[in-house]
Amino acid sequence: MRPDPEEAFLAATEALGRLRPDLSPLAAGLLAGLHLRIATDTRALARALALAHAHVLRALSELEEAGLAAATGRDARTQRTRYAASPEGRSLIEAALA
Amino acid sequence: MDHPVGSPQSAAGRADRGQVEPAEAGPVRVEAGKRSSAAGGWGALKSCGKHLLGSRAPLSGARAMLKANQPDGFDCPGCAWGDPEHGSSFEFCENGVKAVSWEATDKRTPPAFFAAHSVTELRGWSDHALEGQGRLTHPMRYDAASDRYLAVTWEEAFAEIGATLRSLDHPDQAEFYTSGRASNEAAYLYQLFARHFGTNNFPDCSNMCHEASGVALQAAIGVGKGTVLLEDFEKADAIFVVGQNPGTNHPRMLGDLRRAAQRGARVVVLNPVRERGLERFADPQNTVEMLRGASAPVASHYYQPRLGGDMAVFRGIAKAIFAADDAALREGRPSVLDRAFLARHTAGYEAYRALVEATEWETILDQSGLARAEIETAAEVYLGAERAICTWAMGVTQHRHSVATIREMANVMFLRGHIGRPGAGLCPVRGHSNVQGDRTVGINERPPAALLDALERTFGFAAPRRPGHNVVAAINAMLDGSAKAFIGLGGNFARATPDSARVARALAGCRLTVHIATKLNHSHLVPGTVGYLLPCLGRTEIDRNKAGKTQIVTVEDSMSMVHGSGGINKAASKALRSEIAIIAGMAAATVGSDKVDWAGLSDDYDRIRTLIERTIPGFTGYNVRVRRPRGFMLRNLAAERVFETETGKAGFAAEALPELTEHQQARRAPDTFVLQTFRSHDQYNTTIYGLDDRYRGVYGERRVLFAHPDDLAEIRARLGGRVDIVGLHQDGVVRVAEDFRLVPFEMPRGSLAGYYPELNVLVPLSSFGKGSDTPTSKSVLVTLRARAVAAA
Repeated sequence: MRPDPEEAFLAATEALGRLRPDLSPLAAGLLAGLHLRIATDTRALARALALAHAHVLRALSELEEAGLAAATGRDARTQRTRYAASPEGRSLIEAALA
Repeated sequence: MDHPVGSPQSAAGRADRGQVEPAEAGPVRVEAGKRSSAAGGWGALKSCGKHLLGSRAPLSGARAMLKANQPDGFDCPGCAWGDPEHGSSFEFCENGVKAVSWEATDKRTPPAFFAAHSVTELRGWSDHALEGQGRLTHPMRYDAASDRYLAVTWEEAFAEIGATLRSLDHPDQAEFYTSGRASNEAAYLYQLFARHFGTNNFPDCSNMCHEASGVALQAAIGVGKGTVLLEDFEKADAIFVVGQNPGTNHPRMLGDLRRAAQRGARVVVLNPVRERGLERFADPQNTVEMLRGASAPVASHYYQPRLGGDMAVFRGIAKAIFAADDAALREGRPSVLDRAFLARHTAGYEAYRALVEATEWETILDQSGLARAEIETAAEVYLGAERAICTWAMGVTQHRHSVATIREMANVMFLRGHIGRPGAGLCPVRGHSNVQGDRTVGINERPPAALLDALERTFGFAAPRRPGHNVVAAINAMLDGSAKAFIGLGGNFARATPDSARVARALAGCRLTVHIATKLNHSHLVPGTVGYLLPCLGRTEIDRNKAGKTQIVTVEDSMSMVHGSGGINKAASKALRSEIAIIAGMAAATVGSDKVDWAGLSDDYDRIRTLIERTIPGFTGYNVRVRRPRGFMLRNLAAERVFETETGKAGFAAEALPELTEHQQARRAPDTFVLQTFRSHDQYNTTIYGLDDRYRGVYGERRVLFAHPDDLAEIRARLGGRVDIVGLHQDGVVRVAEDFRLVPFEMPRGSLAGYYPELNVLVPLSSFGKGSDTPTSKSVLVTLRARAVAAA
């Protein structure tokens, strides 16, 4: 039986948050979204979560400052920003979700 | 199309084309033909998002706790229009996108840039080229010997600024300018600094835009602000849009106008220039419409009065209303006026009615430039509306008789009680995103005694009671040498102001100039004897205190809604400080920290908000309420039909129409025109995002002069295709703007229009609005001369 998407996402987010309690829930959710292939850019994640794009951009900035993710491209017109986990981010995802 | 972060293509340049982002069909779509790597089956996640924003509590059982909560929203710096879903709108609005991209540029202007370019050389660059260099990164001090800005430490900068300010003979020798982009917290701290220092000299950008609205509304309804909420636009039957161009200046307003039009409301536009955005509008959130290139009408009635003719139009509307009222009473029908409102809530009605009836149609028609039938049709729309709103902007406020015009518009709205009830009211639409909030928290050269009393009680210093300088007074003081220091909290003072060439010389003559800025502009290139350029965080950047905690600031929109805003991007440079930290640093170095804990306030903006709550009415529970979705509305008594005027009632003004507007003067003199300045579509006040003005069909240039096709043909036949514009103000000052290309446009004959700041050299400092001191940028008398002749 296919797992409930919401439960899977929340569980992954919570697992990441347990290892890095300094992260905001949305920043942890962004990493969880990468792992679960929900989205790889800020605007897509914002739409998936029905949030303002600004909030997701802020969460990405938080992950960049923490060295867990990096922006890989940005659309100047929309500010849609593509991102990827850094090696540290991948390690965190592995540790939390493997 | 994506570009790697850091690549030249990723900068804001492509946004300059002004394309609107098509809305997307689903969460996974990126651009036409592109898809992200998102997988399907995640639709249920929409319920998770808001919870993730809500708290750091465990997510288990989240579904039971899901509720909307958006702390630390993001306020779009693009304009001051209200935002129904706070934080989400910037990406759906051209202005928002441009403003955010402009700050988020990857380009930098580090000390090495200044080492490579002298200030004299940079003065030869255009506004667009200067700002195109990107974000300032380090505090810089002007070195006259090398004619270059050199990097300094923050501590060195604060120490010398403080010492120089203290060396002045009197605090009134300093001018503290504020741009309307400054947050409530920065503005409050700034006024606290200046008043602790000992002056009320607060020239601010509202002096150049909506000052007339504040003055007129204060007299008419007891508060210098509008009375409507965003929700009122959903209920109005008629909306009068006067002297404004929302398509370029506050595009989100077009969405509200369009929705009103679609549900049957009449939208009556009064604008001398035929602005395409007011005729039809494509909603960027409507996917089908955007993809098909479709649009929907906005204005049901579009009238083009002569420049400065709005007061005459409203006088004519009033005349038609009174005629309809007389007819109704004659025929035994009820009065068309709200006589209960007039009797209970207004003063001066009889005198106004007598004045209206004494005003001849001939005078009204000559001054307004409209046909009587047009004015009477506008009056019919007004009479057919149960709920009406009147909005306006710079097209109304930048004339000699702006205060009288706004009073006239208010008079007409009073006649049927269109104030203080749902779907009705007065709405001056501000430009800068916090220009209204800055005034609310004390940026005022004539502060109310209650504010000064509260500051004295709270902080224990003697607040200055002398009125200070507005923009015009500040410039005159710098020109005559009585002001010797200029501190600029944002903005581009030398380019935004009238007689900009003279203002530049005035700045250069100061003993001290300090500019707090994000990007380089021309005001920075006329440093005083001691000149500092202090780079600050932008609204879009995350602001952390010493402990690493993110801080929010707050702003007030045109509907008096106060809401919080936190940054969304990393700081452009580690050396940047927030505006608040910079103000606190200067203040501590100037007045000391005995009475105000500047460092503590700078480290916790909640503490600043607590002080605002303590000293300014309306902010009770500030720190709690501002963290609620959409924030809170500052109580506006006029919106509750409580009018804190001298009579305790809404006041009719009975002022005769101007004897001759500039347009009437121009028509009576040979080879004379009246010029208005306005923004291009790729422009935000003095910030030039790009060189296009797509709604008006101009691309890649800014030195253009719009004229009626018949006028243009005559000018071309006489002078050729390129002209110099020569000011005709009779004060002995020679004013010339050189080398403009003529462009035909739908506007009244005898009128010209072009872009500021390039044309600000023609706006006379000595011509300003009666009662407001607002420069008359919408009615400048000029003549033209052939470019070839001038060149020879």
